[in-house]
Amino acid sequence: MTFRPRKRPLEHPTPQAATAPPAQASSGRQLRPRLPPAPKPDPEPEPPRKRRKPTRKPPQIIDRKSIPPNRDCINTLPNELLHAIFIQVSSAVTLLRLGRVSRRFREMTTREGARVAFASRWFRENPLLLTDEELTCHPHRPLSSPDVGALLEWITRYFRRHFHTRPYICTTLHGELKTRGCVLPSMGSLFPNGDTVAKEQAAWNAPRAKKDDDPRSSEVRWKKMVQTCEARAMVAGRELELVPFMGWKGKWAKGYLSKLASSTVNAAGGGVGAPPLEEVKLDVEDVVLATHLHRVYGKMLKEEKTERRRSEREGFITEHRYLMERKVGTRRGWHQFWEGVRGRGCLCGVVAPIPLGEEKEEGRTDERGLQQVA
Amino acid sequence: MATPSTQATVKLQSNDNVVIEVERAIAERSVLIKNMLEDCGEVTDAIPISNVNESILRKVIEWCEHHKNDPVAAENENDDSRKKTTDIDEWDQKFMNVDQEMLFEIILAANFLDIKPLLDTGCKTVANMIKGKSPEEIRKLFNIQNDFTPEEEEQIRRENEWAEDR
Repeated sequence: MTFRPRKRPLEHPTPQAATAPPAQASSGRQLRPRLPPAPKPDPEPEPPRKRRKPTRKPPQIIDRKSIPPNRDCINTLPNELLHAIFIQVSSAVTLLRLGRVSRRFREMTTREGARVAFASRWFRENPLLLTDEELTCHPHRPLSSPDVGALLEWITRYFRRHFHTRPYICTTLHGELKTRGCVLPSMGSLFPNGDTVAKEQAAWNAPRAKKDDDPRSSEVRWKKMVQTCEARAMVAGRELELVPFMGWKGKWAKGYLSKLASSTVNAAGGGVGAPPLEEVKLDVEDVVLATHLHRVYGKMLKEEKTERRRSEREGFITEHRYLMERKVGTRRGWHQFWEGVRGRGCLCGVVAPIPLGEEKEEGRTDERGLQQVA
Repeated sequence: MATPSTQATVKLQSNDNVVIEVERAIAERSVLIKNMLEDCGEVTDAIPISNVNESILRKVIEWCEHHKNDPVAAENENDDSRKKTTDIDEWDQKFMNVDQEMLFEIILAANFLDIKPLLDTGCKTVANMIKGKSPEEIRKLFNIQNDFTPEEEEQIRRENEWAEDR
């Protein structure tokens, strides 16, 4: 007879047995009786929770128009409507990028009509990049022309108008200008990134420098060149300043100049028969130039503020003393120069003849002499 | 010349033959309808708007209703003041928040009906959509096929590279 363990009657498991791990339960070891869990202290009645107001998230607006359509809808528009859209784009870069989208877009954006219409609208509507607050940098030295946007547009026109008289454009403002910065108006962003305006200014003042030249020798060259130019101008009975394109080393500046050279807008060029400055048509590249000039202006302004703070620390408090120390900022000089030029109108002798007392050499501009020097 | 009419409403018929009755002042935001009414005097029949379907016509009427009291801009307005006009009114922004198909239909309808402010708003909306996007992003946005060869594309890119230099 074999021993058979008696079958245990089926019982409902006690709560303890139910919670015991099965391995232990099945083993023959005696299980330690489990202590009943200590009664938890009565929890303090929670203070009634403040019911938060359900924060309503603003309904998320889905920009339905930016969902790409299943078919090319924009190309259902006729050319005139595409033209109307393209001239409304915000920047010259965007317009040029549109020309890389498709052949049709390319054809539309390279039309002279579209480019000129875009530039015209941009200059008409583009607001100043600098606020009024930024422009009033010192109570004693307010800007003579707060409308920097209008001045920049004028300069852009001036460059286009006189492009073909490269490399020099004559003015007769010598004596009215107080800083060396005026001799070559600062165009800071024409130089590689990272330079301050002052450094760029120095670079401008070394225009004849070759790559391996000692900076001092280039300084001498520059002085000599100016002296030569002045001597020639004195012979012609005039004093002069120079506004050259030289030193425009940046990639965009080179691009701008090459675009200007190949441009068919204002086909008459800058010589006799060219349209007056106000009627010069502007193109996409002029918008690029104006955008850069805006940025340079901001840079000059920032530098001036820094310089002003430094001067005040050093004791140049009064305006008079400041001027006596010849610490006229680059921006101030820039304004003096360009407002002086603008005040005299076009300087090539075609549209607005230079008002000279003697009128000896009227019509024969200094440009000719300067070009010989160049 | 026809005598000026005093009728308060006009009927417009879309190209899917739906007739919509609108106030004359609202309909006259469209220079096309305005000229037509001036030329014809009293018009009892519905004016067929052959290029515009019902949904677009209703949308255009909605815009005209909202802008019915806006001053009518003088033709060839040559204002020298430097004002930023690329900004779009908030209501107009919401109004233009439609799918692209409808957006371009609205632009076409505004052009057909000669509603210049609506056309300008539509064009500015599209111009704002393009803002800051690369050519590839623009293609993707509008589902445009690139029909340049890689060489052509590269050449144009190099041509315009100067402008992107900072």
